[in-house]
Amino acid sequence: MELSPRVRALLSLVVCLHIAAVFVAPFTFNSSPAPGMAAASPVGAVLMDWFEPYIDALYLRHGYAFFAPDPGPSHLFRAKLEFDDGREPEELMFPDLRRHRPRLLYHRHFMLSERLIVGYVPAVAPRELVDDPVRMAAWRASRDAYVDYYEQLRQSYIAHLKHRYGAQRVTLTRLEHQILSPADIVENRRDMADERLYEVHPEDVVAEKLP
Amino acid sequence: MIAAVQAVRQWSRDVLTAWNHFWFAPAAPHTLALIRILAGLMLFYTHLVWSFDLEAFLGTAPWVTREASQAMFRSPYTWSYLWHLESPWLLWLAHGLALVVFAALTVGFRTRLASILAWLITLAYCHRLQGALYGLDQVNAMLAMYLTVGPAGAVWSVDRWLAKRRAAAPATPVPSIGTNLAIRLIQVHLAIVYLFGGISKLKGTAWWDGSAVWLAVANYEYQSLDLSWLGRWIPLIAIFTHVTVFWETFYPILIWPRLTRPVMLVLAVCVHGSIAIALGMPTFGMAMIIANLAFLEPAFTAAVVHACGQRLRRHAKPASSAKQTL
Repeated sequence: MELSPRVRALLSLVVCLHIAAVFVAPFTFNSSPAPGMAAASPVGAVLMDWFEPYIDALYLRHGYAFFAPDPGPSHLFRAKLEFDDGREPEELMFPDLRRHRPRLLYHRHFMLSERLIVGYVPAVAPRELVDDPVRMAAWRASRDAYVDYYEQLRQSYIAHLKHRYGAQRVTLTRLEHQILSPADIVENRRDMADERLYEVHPEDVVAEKLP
Repeated sequence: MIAAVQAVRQWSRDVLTAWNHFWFAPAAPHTLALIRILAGLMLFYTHLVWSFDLEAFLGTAPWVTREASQAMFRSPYTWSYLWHLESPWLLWLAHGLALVVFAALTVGFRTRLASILAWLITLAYCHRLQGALYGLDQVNAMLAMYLTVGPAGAVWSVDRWLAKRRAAAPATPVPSIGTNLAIRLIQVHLAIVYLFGGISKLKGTAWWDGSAVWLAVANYEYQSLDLSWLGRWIPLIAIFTHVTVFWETFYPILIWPRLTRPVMLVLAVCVHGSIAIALGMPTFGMAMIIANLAFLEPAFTAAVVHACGQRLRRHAKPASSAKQTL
C-alpha cells in the first residue's frame, strides 16, 4: 500500500515530534546540575516546558543513566517496629533477599529503599550556583520539593508498615552499604556482607526548610 | 551558482527519498511478531510478580500513597485507574484482567485491541507505582507503546491461525508500512536510550579509571552471581568497563551499518546477559535484549524461528513415538 504525500508528511511530523519528546527527557535530565533539579540549559528547560504533558502522559521522563555517572553504594533501610500489645520490638531490613521473592519483587523493595536517597538535593547549594540568582532560585525550589517529597515518602512507608504489622511505632533508619575494593576482598578476605559496611545515612533532610 | 543550486536540490531529493524509505517502506512482520511474543511474556511476568504482594503496593495502605507519589512526581499529566480501586476484590479483578490482556497480546489474540489495552494498562501501573520502578518498566512501556503501531499479530499468532481457518489470510504474511514504522520507532528510541546511557557514564570517573564494572559486581544488593574473583584481574575489569562505555556511546551510530551491526548486537547480548545473570536483574537484561531484536531483518528472524521450530519438532517426535511404543 502506498501512502499519499499528504499522509506521509503528516506521519513524518508526528514521528519527528515523538522522537523529539523521547530525546528531550534524557537531554533535560543530563543538563540538570543534580537529579531532581531543573535543567541548567535554557534549551532543555524550554523544550521540557513544551513537551512535558506528552512526556509525562507517555511515561517518557527518564534519564537512562543506568549505573551512571558512577555505580555507587546501595541504599537500604531498617524499620524498627514497636508494639503496645506486649510483642517484642522487631527489626526488618528492606530489601531482604530471604523475604522478598521472586527476585523482581526483591528489586521492587530495593527501589523503594533507593527512593529515600535518589533525587537528594543537598542542604548546601553547590558553590558554582552561589553567584547566579536564577540558578540559586531553581536550586532552592528543588531542595524544598525534595524535602517535601522525602518527608511524604517516609511517612507513607511508616503508615504502610504500621498497617501491615499492626505496629504502633515505626522508626526508619537509612543505611548505605559501602563497596569493598578488589584488594579488600582478594588480599584481606573481607566479606561483602560484613555488617560494618552498612553505615547509617545521616538525616539532614528534614532538619530545616529553607527561608 | 546554478550547479550549486542543483546540487542542493538533488541532495534534498535524496534526503527525502531516504527518509521515506527509512520510515515508510513496507516490512515483513516476523521481527515485530517475535518482539510481541517476548515482550508480551515479559509484561505478563512483570505484572504477575506484583500479585505476590499486590495489596502492599496497590491496596488501601500502600507503600507509596497518592500524596507521596504526587510529591515525588509533580505532574498533572499522569493518570491511573489504579488510584480509584478501593476494594480489594475490585483490585484483584482489575489485576486479573490485566494479566488476561497481556496473555492475549503474547499469543496474538485480537492483537490490535490487546496491544492498545496492554499499553494503557502498562502506563497505568507505571503512573501508579512510582518509587518501585526501574529500567525494566521503562523498556516495558516503550515496547508496549510501539506494539500498538504495527500489525504485531500478522504472523505467529492466534489471529493468524483463525484467519487461516477461515481462509481469510494470505499464504504468506503481507509486508506493511505499519510494521516498519513500529520497528523503526523501537530502533530510534533504543538508540536514544544508549546515547544517553553512554553520555551519562562519561560524566563519572569510574567509567574512565576502569573501576565501574567492579563497583557494579561488588555491590552486594545487586549481586546474583559472585564475581568477586574478578578482583584478581583488575586489567580485565578495566577492559569490561571501557568496552561497555564505548559500546553504549557509539551504539547509536554503529548499529546502523550492516557491517558493524552484528558486533553491536553481540555486545548488547553480552552486556545485558551479564546484567541478567550477575547483577540480579534477569528481567531488565532480557527486556533490553528483546528491544535489540528490532535490528534483526525479518527474513533472518523468520529463518531462525523456523529452524528452532523444526528442531523442537524433531526432538518432540522421538519422544512421542517412544510413548507410542510403550
